[in-house]
Amino acid sequence: MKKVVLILLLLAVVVAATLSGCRSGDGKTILTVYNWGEYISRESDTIAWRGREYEIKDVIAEFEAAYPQYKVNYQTYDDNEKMYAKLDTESYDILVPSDYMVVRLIKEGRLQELDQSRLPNVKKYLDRRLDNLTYDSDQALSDKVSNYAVPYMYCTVGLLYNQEEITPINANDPTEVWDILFDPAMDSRIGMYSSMRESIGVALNYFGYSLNTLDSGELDQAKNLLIDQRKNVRPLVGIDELKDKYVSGELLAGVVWSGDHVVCQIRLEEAQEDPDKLQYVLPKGSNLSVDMLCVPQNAANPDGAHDFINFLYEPEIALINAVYVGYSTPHTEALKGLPAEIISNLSYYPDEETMQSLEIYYSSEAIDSTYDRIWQAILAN
Amino acid sequence: MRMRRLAYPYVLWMAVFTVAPLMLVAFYALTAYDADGRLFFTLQGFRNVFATDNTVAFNLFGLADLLGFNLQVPIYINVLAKSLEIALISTVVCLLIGYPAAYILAKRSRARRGQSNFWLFLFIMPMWMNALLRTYAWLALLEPMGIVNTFLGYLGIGPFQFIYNDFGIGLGMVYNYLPFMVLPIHSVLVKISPSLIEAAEDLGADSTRTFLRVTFPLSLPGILSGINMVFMPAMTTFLIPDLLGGGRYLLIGNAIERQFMVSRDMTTGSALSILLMIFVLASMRILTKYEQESSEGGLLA
Repeated sequence: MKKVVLILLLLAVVVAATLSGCRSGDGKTILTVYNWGEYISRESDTIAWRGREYEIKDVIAEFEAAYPQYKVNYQTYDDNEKMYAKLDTESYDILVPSDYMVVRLIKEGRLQELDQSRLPNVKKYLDRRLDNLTYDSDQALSDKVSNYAVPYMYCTVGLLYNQEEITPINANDPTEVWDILFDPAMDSRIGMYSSMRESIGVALNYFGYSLNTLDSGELDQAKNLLIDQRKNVRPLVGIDELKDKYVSGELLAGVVWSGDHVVCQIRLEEAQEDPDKLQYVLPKGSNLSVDMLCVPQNAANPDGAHDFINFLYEPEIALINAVYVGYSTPHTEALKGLPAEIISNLSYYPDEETMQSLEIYYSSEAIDSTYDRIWQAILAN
Repeated sequence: MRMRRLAYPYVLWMAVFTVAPLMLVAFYALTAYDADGRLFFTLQGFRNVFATDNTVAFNLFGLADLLGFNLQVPIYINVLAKSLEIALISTVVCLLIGYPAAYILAKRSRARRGQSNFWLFLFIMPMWMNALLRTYAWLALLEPMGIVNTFLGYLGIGPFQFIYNDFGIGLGMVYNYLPFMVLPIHSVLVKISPSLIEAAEDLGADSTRTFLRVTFPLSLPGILSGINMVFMPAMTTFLIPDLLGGGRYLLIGNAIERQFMVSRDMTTGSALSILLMIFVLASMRILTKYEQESSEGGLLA
């Protein structure tokens, strides 16, 4: 008898916990946003960037003020794969996966189609070039991406280096550009991302191979290169924590998303140092990656999710985020507010020709499992 | 009869939080879903753990470099070996530092019978703080441009690479687990009756002999449980290698976490967990056997 009571009590607690998930105490509907770390403006501040001053606001607070019916529950991740792993057990209203992960989620039926009529700002301001990129080897699937996801920010993957310590690299040949990453003389002064695709991708690009190759010979070469690097160059591996180490000079070079380079430069400017100390080169055949806003199939608050996406496309808000986050914005109006040096830099805002020279990561069962296997072997060394 | 009823909550607790999860792990390790979402029995998880098509060079304690051989082993065996290596070294260092510390603390405790021991209190105090925060503090201290290196820079030495290597991980482990070695040894040492030591001295043993023949054998149970308390968590931790290893280390704890969180392969992850559990149980078994044997020697009887 007692056991039954206990089990009922336990059930009651569990049910109560699930139900209370959708509403907060003050009758507002919860909107759960799951985004990359340091990927939305969360502070009120003035940022000086290339001689211009920008007023930054807390975008989440602004949203809650503009839409008082919602209360935002904001959470962050630093790896597409880690985000994916949480989807089985948690319910989110907004996700911001990278392109290849969006394709994977669409394939698995985990995303819902967006109601474009509720996203007037997106229709008005989105740079349509990003819709026309090829996101999958299957063109039909690639075309479907724009029905499910709205680009939030995009970036390229390139080499950041400290030009006070390293001779300038004037090349876009991948072997020449990436060479410094594998130089034992740079022991412990190199930064690498802990994410799988970026690491293996750089090694493949170094040899001039496709970032989506399934050729086991090419993959083995990339694997051995990275294993040797871990032994002889001992790079520091991380995500957001690396930025401050480039700024302080602890790390001299590393693989970065173009947006992280911009953030490093802004931090240097803030510290009254020369931002051009840290340079960025984009090799041919490297990666272009688009992080997209999308709404999972099991979202508890899809209405709020649409309002949130539309709000992020308000020109003023998009500009704040573009300045704070530093990544390239797909918002045609916000773009005009950015410093001229930034918009004209082809490494951040590639023209048609540069875009053609870059490659987007693809996702398929074969690619996902093969790359994961190689990555484990690299980590185990 | 009454006692048995008092035990019910504990039995329930263990059933829900120990036995059930263990059975779940075993269940996951032996099953997988096929393409249509149907559950089926499989040994694929264990096959993946011992897969010979994905191998790395085995280099326990740097032996391969030293002796110049090249042995290819399945990646998880290497991961397990590497974890074992770091856990063993940390345990030995903890014991070497911890035993004298416990000895000194016990002496002080005995000297001021009844009063609380201020030094023991100082020893335990850092444990009030979360292990994650303490480990972050080490990061700030020992970074290449951290506090210690900046200070050494003023003296004209360094900078030294303290962290993001074996040394850093070992330091983090020893720091975090040292109290677990000191406390059990200390509590055994304070209980040794002074009359035994006096008797040894009366019978003509000098202090070294007294220590080796009386104090040390009597403190063995404390040492064994200290080893238990340090070795097991050191073997399974994934937090310390993640932070102090600069993200470069894959120890068995990280490997299991990765299988669940990133690769999404619950079957292999559970199989790895089972392998680790068997390993830990086996080492515990060896330790208890040793403990029994040493007590059968008559010293503790």
